[in-house]
Amino acid sequence: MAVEKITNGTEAVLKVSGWLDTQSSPELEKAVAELDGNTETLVFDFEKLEYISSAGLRQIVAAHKKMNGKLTLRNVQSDIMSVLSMAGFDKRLHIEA
Amino acid sequence: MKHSIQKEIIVVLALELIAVIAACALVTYRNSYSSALKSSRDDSRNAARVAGAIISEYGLDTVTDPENKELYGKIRRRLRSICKGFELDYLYVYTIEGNDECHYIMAVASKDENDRIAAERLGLGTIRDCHPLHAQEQAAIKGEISDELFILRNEFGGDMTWIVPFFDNNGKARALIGADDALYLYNAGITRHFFVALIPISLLIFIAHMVLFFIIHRRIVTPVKTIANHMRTFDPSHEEEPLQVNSQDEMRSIAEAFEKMSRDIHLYIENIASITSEREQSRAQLDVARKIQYGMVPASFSENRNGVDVSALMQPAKEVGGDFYDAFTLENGNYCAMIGDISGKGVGGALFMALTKSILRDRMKQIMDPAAVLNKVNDDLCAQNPEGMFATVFIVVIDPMTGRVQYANAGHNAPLLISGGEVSLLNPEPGIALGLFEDAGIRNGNLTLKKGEGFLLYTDGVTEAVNTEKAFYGAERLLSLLKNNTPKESSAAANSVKNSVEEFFAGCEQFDDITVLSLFYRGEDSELELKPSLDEFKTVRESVLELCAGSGSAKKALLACEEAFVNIVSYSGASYIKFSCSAGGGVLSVTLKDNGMRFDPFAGESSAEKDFESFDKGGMGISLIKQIAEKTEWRFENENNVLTLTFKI
Repeated sequence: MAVEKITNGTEAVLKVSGWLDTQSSPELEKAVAELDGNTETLVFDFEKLEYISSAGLRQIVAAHKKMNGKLTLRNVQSDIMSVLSMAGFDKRLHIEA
Repeated sequence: MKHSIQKEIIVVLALELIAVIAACALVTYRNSYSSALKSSRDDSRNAARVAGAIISEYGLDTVTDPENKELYGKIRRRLRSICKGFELDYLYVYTIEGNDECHYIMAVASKDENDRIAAERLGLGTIRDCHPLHAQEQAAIKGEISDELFILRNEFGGDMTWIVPFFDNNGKARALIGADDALYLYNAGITRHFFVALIPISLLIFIAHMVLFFIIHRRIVTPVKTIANHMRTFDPSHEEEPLQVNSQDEMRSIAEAFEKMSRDIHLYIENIASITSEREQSRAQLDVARKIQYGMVPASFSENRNGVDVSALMQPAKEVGGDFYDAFTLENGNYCAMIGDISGKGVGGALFMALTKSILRDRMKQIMDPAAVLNKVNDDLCAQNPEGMFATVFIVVIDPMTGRVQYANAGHNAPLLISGGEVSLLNPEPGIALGLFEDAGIRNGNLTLKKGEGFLLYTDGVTEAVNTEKAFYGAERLLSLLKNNTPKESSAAANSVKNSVEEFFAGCEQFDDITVLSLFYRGEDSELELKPSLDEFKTVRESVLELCAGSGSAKKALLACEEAFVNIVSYSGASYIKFSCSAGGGVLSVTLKDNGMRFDPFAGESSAEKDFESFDKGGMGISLIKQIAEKTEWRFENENNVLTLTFKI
């Protein structure tokens, strides 16, 4: 898994690619923790995300809490989307397909 | 109604009445005629004779003497009083002289006017030409009497003349005496006689006809109408009122026949209604029985786990049938599959099937040895089988680690063995059907399957299926079907047999249940022992991805496996995780065994109900597994948690 960070004023975009599973999810946790204090909104760009497990889902919930809800998921592929739906995230998160 | 009997009777009676009265009239008229003629003839002749007697008193010559005018006048008065007394028109005396000349001596008439004319024109010495003489006149000349009618017609209506001879004291016919009876009086006599006779007769006939009509109306027409009305309003769903026909004749017997018929119909319909409702009830009960049976023996079953790939199909006949099958894992890790057929169908057969299947399953789980189970169950059934039903059963038990098979037969069809690329009929000891005789003495048979080898178990619904040409499907056909296209997995085997049999009997009724169970040995040597570490999951990932290569649902299956694996690593405290997986028939089966603490992940309530905000602490894994896996199973076996997840791929 790889995380690429792009800062755009107060918006931070984290491009997550590869497999976001139990083993790789701490990397995403670390990337979120390292966001600087000016960041007001966070975007996870999942264009190149191939796989997500519940560990990855946990990181999404943690980030959502940390940003007080100002989290957007962008470019979510259909495989990933169906996992998000199963967990009921599609009802609670701002998701751009 | 096009025709009315009543109207027809009226018409016929009226015509007959007219005909009878006309006939009576004819007869009466003839009677009247002859009677009037006789009376006219006798009266007139009597009058003439009386007149003759008066003239004889004096002698004809004295009367015709022109000197005796006084006597002539006296006799003339006496004759006239006779004429009046006999109601004659005229009375006259004459002789026939020379060439048919009438020489009148005296003529009188009843009416004054006529009498005056008679005195003037037919006085003594008047001569008239009388040629030709009438038969009566000719007879009278000879002193005889003729009955020939002699009618004179004139402007007053005419007279009927009767002539008698006048004999002198010597008995010689000297003159003729004519008496004219007025025709109108004569005719009136006929008429009077006619009506006096006809009217009472006609009245009698008329009354007789009316009586006849009323009898017909009352005894035939009215009862027929009553019966017809009754029949028209006949309602079979109600008890009939008795018919109001107050007679003791044929109409009564028709009414009674109808009453009997309507009672019979009423009873018959009540019977039909009760039979129908009973039939409905038993059909409903049969439906319930069938539903229960299908619940116990589903139409299709497929399982792929523990190194064994099993599929079963059942096509029930119309009635509740007696086939059954069952397949389950035993506590020692072996896998058991059985097929059976109950003698007899219907609810009784279904009950016996349910009993047999339940006992077999229970005993198998306890004893785990097929022959011992069959012998024991046979004893159980013999002890509680008043109907003398029996069941043929074939049981196979396979060790998924080694492929070793133990089987036992209780009178069932020999199964097919698919082994070494060949298909053959297994030749087990035949055994004996369960429930017939105690101490069946059934013994186990043994063989060992290699990976990819298997069995096909079936019931006689397969081999005894009958086609339109009354031919059996037969074991040979079954063998050649599988030889020509040897199946590699259970669902293909079961489906191809079922489809072939259904094709065979297409267009005929299916008489018996058709049940097929196929079992293939896959082996469990893909079991790998992993350390309880997240790093080790990559082994699982590689195996699963390899087995599901190209399948779109591979990643989801992998997700479920990861959640299960992570849970074991995180919470169980196990020292190893044994992993195995197999795929076939569109199904992926993954088994994870661990020696950690006993924990059934699916026993708790669904974590999907948990709050979204708390998901960062975990708790989504099991929910995801349940959503993704086609089937989840957990058991605790040999101090191991055994988790089997099955996916469609």
